[in-house]
Amino acid sequence: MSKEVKNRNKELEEMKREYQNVEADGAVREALEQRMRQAKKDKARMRRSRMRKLGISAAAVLCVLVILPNSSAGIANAMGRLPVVGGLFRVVTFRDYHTEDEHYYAEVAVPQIDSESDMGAQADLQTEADTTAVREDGQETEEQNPDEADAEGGTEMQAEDDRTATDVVNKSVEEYTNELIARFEQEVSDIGEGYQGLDVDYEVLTDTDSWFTLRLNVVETAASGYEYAKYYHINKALDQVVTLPDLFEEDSDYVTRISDYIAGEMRRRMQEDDSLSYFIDSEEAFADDDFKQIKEEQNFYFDQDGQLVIAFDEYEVAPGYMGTVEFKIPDEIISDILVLRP
Amino acid sequence: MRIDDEEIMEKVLDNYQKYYRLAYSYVHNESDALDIVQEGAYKAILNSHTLKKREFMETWIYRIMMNEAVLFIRKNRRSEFVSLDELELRAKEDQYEDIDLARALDQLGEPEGTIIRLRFFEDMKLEDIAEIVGENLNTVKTKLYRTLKVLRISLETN
Repeated sequence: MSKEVKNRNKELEEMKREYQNVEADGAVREALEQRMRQAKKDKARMRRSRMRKLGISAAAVLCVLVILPNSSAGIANAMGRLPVVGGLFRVVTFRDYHTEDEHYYAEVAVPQIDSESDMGAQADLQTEADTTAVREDGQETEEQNPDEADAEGGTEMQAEDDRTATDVVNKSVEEYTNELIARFEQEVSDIGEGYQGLDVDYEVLTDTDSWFTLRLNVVETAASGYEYAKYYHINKALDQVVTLPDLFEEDSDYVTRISDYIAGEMRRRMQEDDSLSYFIDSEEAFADDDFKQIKEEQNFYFDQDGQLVIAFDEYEVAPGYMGTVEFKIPDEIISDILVLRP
Repeated sequence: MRIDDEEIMEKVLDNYQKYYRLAYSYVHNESDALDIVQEGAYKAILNSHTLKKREFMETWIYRIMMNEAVLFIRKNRRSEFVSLDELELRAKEDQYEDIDLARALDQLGEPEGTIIRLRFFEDMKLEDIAEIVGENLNTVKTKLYRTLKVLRISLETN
């Protein structure tokens, strides 16, 4: 080895010594601790302000509903129709679950779809069914119309085949929200100094003569937030609940086609904007979490232009800061195998 | 599985000397080094949900700190980084010119700068370095050997 190489290595040794001689004093440790406590506070604040925003809008809707029993049936009926864009279905908040305290907060609006056929019978009951009250004293308040509950029991007694698509969805929504509430109550009883939150609201995404899509938005908050959605689709013409495979020809390769498109789109978006990040092409250590393909029954809906949109929950295909992620699928990718659309 | 923020805080406070040293080696002054580690610590807690496995906690924190340091010098430095190709060219053109190693290290782009620092000053395993700089192991090896060659450092003493 040349003399020069030896000197270089000596230089490196010297630099190492210098590097390791650097020492932070105790003030640095203190500053770090303070800054991290601040981060925790900021995080909790962001969470709370978000909760409050959701909470207030939900309370505002409830206020309107509380007045209803004293108004005329005609107005009440019109109010019940409010959330719906038109068509034969209407959606009402069947149950409202609210509870809050310093350490927890929950606001769950459970929707129910009524189709025209059972509206006549239920129109009068509806005004009472929607009657809910919110108290801010940490007491849980909840009301459910006894007649409505009976009606529900009645459907259950019918044979499976008699159930309409709306019955199936209503039942599924109810079971699912019950599950969320049970989990929330369990976690609340487990936490000491932590924070637990649950927000559920809903939205009608599509309502045409032939198609109806209801989205349930769920935000669960614990150590960090978790945001996701559940979609319910009804083909009105066939009175059928629809999932992703139903849209395509049997045995078609829709999973591969859509997955390939989405993988390409992730790469393209990341290339274009380096603030975006998806779980794809990760280094070895994280490759297990990478997006490989969509689930057979992946969340989807059709947007206003009738284009298929594939939806992912938070953390499903991207880091948490990306939130929930969606991809619009161009017609040319799927048009030859798509057999059902709104 | 959820990793508690308190656990991450504890880890940061256990290793704060290391993060501070790494930051200092980029900026060579105390107040900037402090800014970097503070910002890194803040972001670690704010983004704690992105840490998926406990076993990655240490390299994950390092990675955040390294990103902060690199971000800081990108924003604040006066002179440009010199690419490895450029350094290589200079070394070839004038073989006997004495490149000051400390200066060369500061001019080195990323991830080469971090690879050298973690490998030689922190004696870190290449696997861990690969995770921190977000490259696969072979890329890290290739980059390390090429950089050593350009800087004319022999590996034998290590």
